[in-house]
Amino acid sequence: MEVTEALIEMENKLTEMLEEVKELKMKVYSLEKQNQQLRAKLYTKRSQGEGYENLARLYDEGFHICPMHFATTRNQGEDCLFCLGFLKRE
Amino acid sequence: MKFLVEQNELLGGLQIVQRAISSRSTLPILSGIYLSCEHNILRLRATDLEIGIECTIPVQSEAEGETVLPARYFVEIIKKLPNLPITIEKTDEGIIIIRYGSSEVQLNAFNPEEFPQLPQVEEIHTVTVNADLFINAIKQVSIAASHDISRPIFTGILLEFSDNNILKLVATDTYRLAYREIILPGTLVNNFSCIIPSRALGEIGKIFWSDDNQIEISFADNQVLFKVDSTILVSRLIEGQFPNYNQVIPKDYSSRIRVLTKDLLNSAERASLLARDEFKNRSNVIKLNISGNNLTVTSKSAEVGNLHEELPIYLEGEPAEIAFNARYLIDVLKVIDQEEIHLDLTGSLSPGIIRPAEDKHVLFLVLPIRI
Repeated sequence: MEVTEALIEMENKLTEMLEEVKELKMKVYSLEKQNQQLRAKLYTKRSQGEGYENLARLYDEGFHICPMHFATTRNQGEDCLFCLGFLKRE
Repeated sequence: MKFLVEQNELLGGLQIVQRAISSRSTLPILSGIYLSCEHNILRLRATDLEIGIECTIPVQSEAEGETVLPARYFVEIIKKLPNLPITIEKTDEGIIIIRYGSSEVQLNAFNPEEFPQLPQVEEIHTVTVNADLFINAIKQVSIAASHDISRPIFTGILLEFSDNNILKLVATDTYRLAYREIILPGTLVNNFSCIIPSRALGEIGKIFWSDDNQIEISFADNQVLFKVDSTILVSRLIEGQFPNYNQVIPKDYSSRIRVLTKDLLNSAERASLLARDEFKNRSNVIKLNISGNNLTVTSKSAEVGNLHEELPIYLEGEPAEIAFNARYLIDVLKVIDQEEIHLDLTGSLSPGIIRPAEDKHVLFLVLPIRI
């Protein structure tokens, strides 16, 4: 019986954990959505006026400015073909 | 299920389909090879749900049926058998008996009903390409494909068909880019493009390698099917938009050098030995200094030593200085099968363009490292 009780307790804990994971998943989802919207807003803002300097600065600070990975961090010390192509075109 | 098969034919088929088995799969059934025997044909199939490979081999069937055997043991056992006819039989309990001479092996099998079917490919476009040409193009382009699964688009190779019968293959990991064109003689295709996982294309090179084969490629909405004789490989396509690669290919250059491919490759390989720890995060840096008719290759490692080599070149344009990740340069030079290359540069921060001196259909871009 002791083992059964321990298993029941374990099952309850796992259910609780699963609930927490579900909750976290929803939070992460909403944050990701929000982040995406903010990135899009930032992109729109940056593309209006003073765009080039801002983009160049953002790139120099270590962020992607290519549409594919906009505002995500670049690997340290590594340039990105598409960001450089984008800057050159601007 | 009961059939008689030649050891070498069975082994040949198993070695083809087992390429689809992934060691990382979490579903035990996917570590198996599906066998189905019907009308003197044995159908072998394996999949990791991303790619699936199926082939058929002739057998003498006595009773129809299907099973799934663990690839790890089944292939190894068949490999170690003498080249003799083998009888494979399924018992009522589902156990498989492999008989050879007066000996036998019994293997526990999986339930064949649990094994996934290969997806049905409802083709929209079909093209036929020469296997040698296509596989060689894949080999050249795949060096630039990324292995970073967090950016799936770059783990694939873009296939772009245009109505002037040109197939363009492009791969990039955003640090380098490889581009190759193939002319498809006599094939009428519409304009369309898709991204195929580079792993699937790599397997094509391994299983369909033969000079005179023609590969039939059928494209559906989210799948692609490659077929040669009785062997097929089905792969899912990578969804998403491949970046506009045309915009990153420089249209002109300020310096063009012509150099022997092998000389630069050997030199870069030697230089990379001494380029391991110049910067903590930027190892493998080799510098190229172009002046007059000389290319100076240098690399240094604080702990090991330094290298200085001079190569004869033909320079058109201005002298230049640039640094590359040696590995990127070596990868490109290894897949160029021509004697000479052109290296086109436009400053030390713009990508270098490498192409075989006599082939306008291939191009590689490599981003320099800031020095």
